[in-house]
Amino acid sequence: MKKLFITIFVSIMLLLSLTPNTYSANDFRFDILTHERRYVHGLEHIRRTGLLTWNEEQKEQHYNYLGVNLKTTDYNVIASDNYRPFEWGMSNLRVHIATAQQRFPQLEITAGVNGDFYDINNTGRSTHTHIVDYEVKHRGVGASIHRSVIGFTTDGDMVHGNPSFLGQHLNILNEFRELKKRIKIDRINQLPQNDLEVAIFHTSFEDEIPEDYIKVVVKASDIKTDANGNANYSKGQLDYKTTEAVTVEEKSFILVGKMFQDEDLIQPTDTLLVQELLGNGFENVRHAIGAGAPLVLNGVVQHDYFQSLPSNNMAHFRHPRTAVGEKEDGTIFFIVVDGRDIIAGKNGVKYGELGELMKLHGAVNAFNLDGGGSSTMLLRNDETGEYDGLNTFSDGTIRSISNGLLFARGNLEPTFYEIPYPDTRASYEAPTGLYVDGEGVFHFTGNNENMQYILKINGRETYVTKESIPLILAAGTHEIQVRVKGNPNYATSPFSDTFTYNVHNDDVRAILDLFRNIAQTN
Amino acid sequence: MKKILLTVIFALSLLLVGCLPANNGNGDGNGNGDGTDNPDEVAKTLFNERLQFLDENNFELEIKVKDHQALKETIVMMYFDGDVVKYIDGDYEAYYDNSGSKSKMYEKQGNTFVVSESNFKSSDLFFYGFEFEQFSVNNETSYIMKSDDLASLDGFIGLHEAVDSIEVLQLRANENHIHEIIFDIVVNETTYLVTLTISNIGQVNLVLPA
Repeated sequence: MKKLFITIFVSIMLLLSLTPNTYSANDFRFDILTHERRYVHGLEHIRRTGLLTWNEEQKEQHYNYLGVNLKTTDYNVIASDNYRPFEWGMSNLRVHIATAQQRFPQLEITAGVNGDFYDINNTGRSTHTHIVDYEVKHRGVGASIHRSVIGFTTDGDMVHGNPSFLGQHLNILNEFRELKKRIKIDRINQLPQNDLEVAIFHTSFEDEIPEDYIKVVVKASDIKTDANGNANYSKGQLDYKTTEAVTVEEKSFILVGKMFQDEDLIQPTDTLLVQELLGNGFENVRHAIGAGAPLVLNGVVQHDYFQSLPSNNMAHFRHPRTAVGEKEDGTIFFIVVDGRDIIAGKNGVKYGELGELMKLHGAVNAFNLDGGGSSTMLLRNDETGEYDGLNTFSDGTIRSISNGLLFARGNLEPTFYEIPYPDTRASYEAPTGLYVDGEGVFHFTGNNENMQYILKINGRETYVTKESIPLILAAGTHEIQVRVKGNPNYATSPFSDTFTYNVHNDDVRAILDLFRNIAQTN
Repeated sequence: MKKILLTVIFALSLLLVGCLPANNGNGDGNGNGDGTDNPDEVAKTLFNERLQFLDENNFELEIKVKDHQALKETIVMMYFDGDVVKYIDGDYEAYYDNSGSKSKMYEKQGNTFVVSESNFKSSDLFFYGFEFEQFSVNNETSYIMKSDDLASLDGFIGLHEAVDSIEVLQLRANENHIHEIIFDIVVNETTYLVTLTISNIGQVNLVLPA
């Protein structure tokens, strides 16, 4: 009997000695005090309060969750900002949403959260990479375990990690944002060394570019510089070509290379976009922002990493936090935890607690975003049309931020796909049969094999994928045209004939209806 | 006695003179003897002649609605050719065929016309029912509907519940026909100015869509 007790005792001691001295998930507990769950615009919204226990500490917490499956719905995650041409800028997330809605009128933006950390001493430039609709506006800092980039493809895949930077490239986009040609920029502010090289000159090059070289002078619509003054993003349209000696004027840049002797390569309607080419899995990323520390990777909360951080690191202090996570099934979700109001039970969380919360909600991978006063979560209120703040803004008001991530419903317009050069594609035929029915729904006959269209109303173009579109237009006369959008195999069609659609207010419609009765008089 | 007789004869003479028709003409006293020198009759005849084109029912009608508050104008067109009427609003197009017992509407939807039947069919609506007696002659080319007779339009405006009333209705004519009908119409307590312009009388040729 004594031997048995000794054996049991030794076994227990052995088990205890083999148990790793780390915080396992078993140490984490969230006791729910209040719980609300609802679906708004197809998004799952959870609002919870409860007692979060972690590492023998228990604190009351308040947080909001917003999530949706990008694979099974028409939702996308897009990056937001309010950057202006030739400068950076900061504004609150509501302004970001308004800006994004102007950029992508076909999308319905329903919610969003704040994004990357930013340089508060220097114009609000985001810390890391910032990509909007394939345009790499900022390459950001280099690879680091402390910093990651969260990217989203057109298919709804979330890409994370650190992109490799493959150098600046000239992207020649035609008027339909199809990629005619991508050319590596070999030299910056230096002349090409042979007939194959291409150089770009910015205003930082103050000398004259000598004659004889073939130069494309580009009138810039935007140039973005990093903290060191390097222009890593330049965009514009052809101003003129010359072999004369020139200097770089303000708000312009000059491309130099023998290949520009090809008269067809750059047309006045083309957009010339010089930006960083990304690799390491970020080749097809459409929208991306920088993020902070990884919270969960492959289903494992990164406690070892958090513990390795110095004791004065922000990871070990409780603050309001924002995080983004992905689930196994393709759901993307955001969590914003309230903080800095202990009396109200809004304690904020440490990295470890946030990581556990993300895992609790099913995150396979999750990343910390900017927090503190920047933590913002907005959801559109259908009754007011406004974007309500779901979290408590710890500054007392919504803060201006550099960028954000938005949930946007609708179809992303195919762009940036490569087409042959020279373009030998046949064109689609223009749609026909345009009309608006009595319910205000616009109809046309398009192309059964490629139901992707550009709808133009009073000069403003929108990407659509249906041949029946409900129109919400103000009273007045509206000129409507539509064209079939091209793809790598077929070129975009000409515009259809114009359909003139008169929208009347209720009173005028009543008067006209009255007189239409006369048409039935006999 | 002689004085009495003279007085009676004088008084009778005065009475006879008083019984002569008043001379409202051109002062030459030469009436044409056919009775149309009665000015009301002349005006009525002219009024009816100026609306006679409605019998043929072949004309263009421009409907212009002006919003006094927003200072916006809306213009649509109607074309009348006997039993066939065409309604054009921007690129919206509809035909009405009134030849049968029910009215048929042909509404353009893309490259085809969709036909529907309407049980509504009326006669003497609005200007088809105008009569001389409803109007005051304003001048040789203008008529104003008497305020008491505006009620005669109630049947017309009652076809749409949002329309409250029609006020200050004026007809303007050229030498041959009425060419403008101008009035205020009150809809949901807001007043709009409507101008109907008639043109191309007898020159409209409509063919129903196949």
